[in-house]
Amino acid sequence: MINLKNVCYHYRKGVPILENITTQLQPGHIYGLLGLNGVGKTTLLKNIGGLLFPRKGTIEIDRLQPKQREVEFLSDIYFVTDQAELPDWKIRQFQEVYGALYPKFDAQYFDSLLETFQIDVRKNIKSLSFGQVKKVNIAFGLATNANIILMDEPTNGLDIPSKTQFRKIIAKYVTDERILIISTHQIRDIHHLIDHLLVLNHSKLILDQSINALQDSFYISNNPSDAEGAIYSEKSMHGTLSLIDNLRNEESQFDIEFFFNALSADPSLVNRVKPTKANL
Amino acid sequence: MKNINLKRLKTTLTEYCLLNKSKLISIPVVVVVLYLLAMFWYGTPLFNQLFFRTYPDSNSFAEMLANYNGRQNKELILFTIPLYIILCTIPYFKLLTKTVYGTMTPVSRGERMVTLWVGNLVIIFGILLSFFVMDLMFTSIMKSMYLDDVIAYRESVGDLYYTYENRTYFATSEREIYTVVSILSLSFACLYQLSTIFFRKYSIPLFALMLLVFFYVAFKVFEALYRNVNYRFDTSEISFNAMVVLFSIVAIGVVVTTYFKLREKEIY
Repeated sequence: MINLKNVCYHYRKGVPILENITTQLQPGHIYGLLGLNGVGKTTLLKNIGGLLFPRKGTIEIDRLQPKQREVEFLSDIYFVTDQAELPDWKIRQFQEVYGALYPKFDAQYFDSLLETFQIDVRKNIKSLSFGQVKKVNIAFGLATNANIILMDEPTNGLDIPSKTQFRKIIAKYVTDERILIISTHQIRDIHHLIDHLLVLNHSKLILDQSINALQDSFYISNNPSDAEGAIYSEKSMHGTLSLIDNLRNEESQFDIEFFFNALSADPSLVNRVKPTKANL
Repeated sequence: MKNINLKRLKTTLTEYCLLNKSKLISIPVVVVVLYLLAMFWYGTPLFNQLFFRTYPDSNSFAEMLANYNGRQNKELILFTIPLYIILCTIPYFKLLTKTVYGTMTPVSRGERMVTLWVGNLVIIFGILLSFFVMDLMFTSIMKSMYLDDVIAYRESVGDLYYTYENRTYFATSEREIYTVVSILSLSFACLYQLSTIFFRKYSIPLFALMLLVFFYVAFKVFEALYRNVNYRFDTSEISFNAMVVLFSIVAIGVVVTTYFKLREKEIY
């Protein structure tokens, strides 16, 4: 479990990036971390990964503090960054050197993931394109079998077939012990995977809800007649989408991108979320 | 030792070697090339003989060799030690202090520090060993080729008990140079690595400043120690011991600071 308590972070004094972030992230879930550019998504991931240290507040992951960078903590977490800075070695060499440091590393799984992504393991990382390096990093991260995987824009740079493969791989990866936190702007690539939303806005965590809870609270309609009186509506190529209170407890396909747009337009929308057992 | 795991240490050593592979391999080659350059430097008897045939017969060449003592400055080659320490530390510290994967690799700071110091020692003693072997080989070759001629020449001018001096082509470097260079190089490594980890920007000029301050303080300490030394003791011995103690204290302090500072580095 990842426990964040009043976490504050700033790069420069007086310019807060994260303010009083408090949440508990439970194993067995894929968290979608959303927010506008520069809102602090990567900073939050780096705080969780122990790369940055909270200016105030605490982060605990299974009783370990990330900022201590204990080996026990580091061997059970992997951070897939947006811009992977892997060394200029052969992929096999990279796997052999660093894979040995992760107690649960599965070399066969790594090879199979690379095969899925159509990457030749004999190649040098230096000769790979941006997207290919990202694939190597994703494959390595998942092959560590770490219980916590942090991903910053994982689908950015991936080709279309690889995005499909990525979804399948992630869906298989999550188990009751594992936590995945995916920060992305390309939500359509992964929206079926995410079962919990974290939304950052103006340095605050304004939404921390499961998709189920959001589905219970809101109904997304594509019926143009619902646009009138809707909390938020948006015209798209596929018609008009409207966000309305789910007063009749109906189930609708939850469109995360559309909901995020609504939330960006009116952050007070979070007050309409029905209290759940977990919230009470 | 809780902090050090041999399997992980092996991995970090491999990582260090892979990061600095070409540089480490180049050490003996660079030392040999620089040594030969020093020996055949412009104006030396070997240079003149090889390129200009300045000495018409073996006798006059032997005379030149017998009278020539120095100015090859072969010890200057040992300045490659700090250069190599800087060159090999930069990529390793970049990995540790600037990359996400380097920082999040499950390795303890103890293992990182041991790796760094194994690297430093390999560089320092690799260069010293290469220099020693090259020096020994070259002087042996010179002796086997020209020493008899030189002795014959000296005997012809009445010097029946000729012994070659330091800084001739027949003498290897003095032993003390190895001790001094080892101490100075280890001190350099400590201070340079601390400054690199302390200063995010301008680490080299700030390091130079730190070095100046360090030597100024060291000088003042020696001065103070020397002033209070009882005249009945051999002062030179005390100064040397004091120097070793001082260097050791500073070195340990600096290494410990680097060790703790390593953890505190944020990766933006």
